[in-house]
Amino acid sequence: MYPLAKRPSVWLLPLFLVVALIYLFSYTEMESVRGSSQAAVAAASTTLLFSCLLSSVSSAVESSREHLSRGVLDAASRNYFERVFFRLWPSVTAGVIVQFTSAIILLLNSKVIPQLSDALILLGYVLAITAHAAFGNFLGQWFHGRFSIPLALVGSYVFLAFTGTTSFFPLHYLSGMTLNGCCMAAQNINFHAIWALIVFSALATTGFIFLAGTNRPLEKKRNSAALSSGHRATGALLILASVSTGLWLGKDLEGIPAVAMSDEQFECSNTRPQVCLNRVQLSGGDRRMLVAQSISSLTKIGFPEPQRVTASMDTDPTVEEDGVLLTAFEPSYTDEQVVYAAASSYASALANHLCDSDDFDQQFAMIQLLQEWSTGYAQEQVLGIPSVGLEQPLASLNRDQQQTWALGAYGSLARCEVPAKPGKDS
Amino acid sequence: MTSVFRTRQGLTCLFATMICGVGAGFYGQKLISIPFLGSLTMPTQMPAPVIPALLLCVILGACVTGAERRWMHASVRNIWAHSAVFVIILALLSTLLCSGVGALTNQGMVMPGALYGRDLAGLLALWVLGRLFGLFAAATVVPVGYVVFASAFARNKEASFYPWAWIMESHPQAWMGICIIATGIVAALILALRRQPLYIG
Repeated sequence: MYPLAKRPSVWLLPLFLVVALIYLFSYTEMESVRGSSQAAVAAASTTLLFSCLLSSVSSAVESSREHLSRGVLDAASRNYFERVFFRLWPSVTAGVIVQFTSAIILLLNSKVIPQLSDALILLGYVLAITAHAAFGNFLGQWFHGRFSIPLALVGSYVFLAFTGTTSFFPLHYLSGMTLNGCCMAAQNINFHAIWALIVFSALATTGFIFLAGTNRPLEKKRNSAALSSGHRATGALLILASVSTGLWLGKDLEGIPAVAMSDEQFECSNTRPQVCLNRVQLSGGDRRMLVAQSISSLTKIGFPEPQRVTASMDTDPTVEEDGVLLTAFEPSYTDEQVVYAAASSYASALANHLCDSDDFDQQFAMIQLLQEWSTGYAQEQVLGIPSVGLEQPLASLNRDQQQTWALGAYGSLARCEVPAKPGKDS
Repeated sequence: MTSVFRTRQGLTCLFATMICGVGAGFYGQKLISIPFLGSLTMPTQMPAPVIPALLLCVILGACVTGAERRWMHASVRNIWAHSAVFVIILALLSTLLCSGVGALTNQGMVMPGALYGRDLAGLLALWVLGRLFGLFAAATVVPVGYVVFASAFARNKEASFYPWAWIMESHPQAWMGICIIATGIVAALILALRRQPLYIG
């Protein structure tokens, strides 16, 4: 085996690390992971592109070197799996360093202590990186370096890039990069996605190692010729098993690997109305009072008063029937955004329960106008920010006429009727 | 002629040329998603012919490099010129196949062929530049690295592609791509005249 200083992963590591960090800082919104270590670790999946390519290409270089020198440098003093281990560990370690660096940076930005369950996501990354290293090793054993090195890059890139873009969702989770869709503040990661990645990567690694060689390196120069048919069949079956098991584990997953947090994970305030937020949403400071004030500013003028306002995504209640109003809340929100999100809850509820009629466009236009007015009104009442930019002809009405129109519009839309345009009846 | 074809694994290259040309013709007008920034409001698609062009570039590059040995630099035969002609003929053949298949599948003849031809020529130009600077077998990593880098960093804040990421553009008239192709032609001429790279490690 080569000394560490001559391992390709050692001199490729700084290059890939710098590119991965540039990518991370350019395209990842650090605010989006605040308060959730799970979201932070999952968001690090974007840099799998670089860590997996690094491990794939460096193991292809190492393996093709051995392919060329078989029988000279690598006598059969070690058994096959030992040799594979000593060949692959620097590539895997380099990939893991890149991946864990981005995970640590995101965890620092989340400003919370990581949980034990986050380790499972990290394990998924390590196994994904190992699978790419095994793939590079397989190519290096079968082909000359001039084929195997670029093909390792192309193969890993195509797999990472395009599994996540098909309309067949279970396929997304085999490469791991789609994990960055997790999670909003009211969501947890769906661990089926992690298990799909772990099982697929572990089986694929074993399959590629089986396909890459045998325990008899001196027997024949051409590795592929030295493989027995049983050996090839085992390797191929393991790769087939990895794909089918991965797809089976991810069969119920959709485009985003997240599940809504249950209602039990929300803590409710003693305000009127009650406002319920979870620990992630509260990590940016307790602003439940601000949400309550925003809703109260609208209920005072006649909007229906909910018993509870929640930022849960688990259920789909209505104010009229359940007394529950859904709102959106992220820990990174400014006060202005909190009031905006709370005040637009009424319009959002209407948009979520759009009536089945031919007037979708008109309904939607009125809902947007109602949202514009209610958010502007609440921000003026709660934060003292003057409402500007309201559309004509609503802007030309006086305050009472605007309120009358908004209440009437809300009532009409809740009854599946298209309200009159502002100014027509006011 | 036979020697040029055989030493460069002509049959493998011809097979790859046909497969990639036909594949690019079938999918010439399609766009494929670039996944990494799907959540951002930026263009997230690239033309499908990039992938067959990249594969053909890797295969041609590897086969050509396999036929060249350093001691051949002093040969009476101009192996650099032979390799350049071999690659140009196969690239043209592949582009023609792409246009033909595009026409047969009602995708139009000009667009798939022009796009695939631009991508293939541009990637081969990057490979030749790698050879010019003495990368030998590792020269095929240059076009692959370029595609990976472009798909990750191609987009600017104004939701469009940077000019250097011309391979992501879905229309063939990218001036930067044409410049790269022209540079590749100059590099191939330099190699054919010098019969050795600028740097030999």
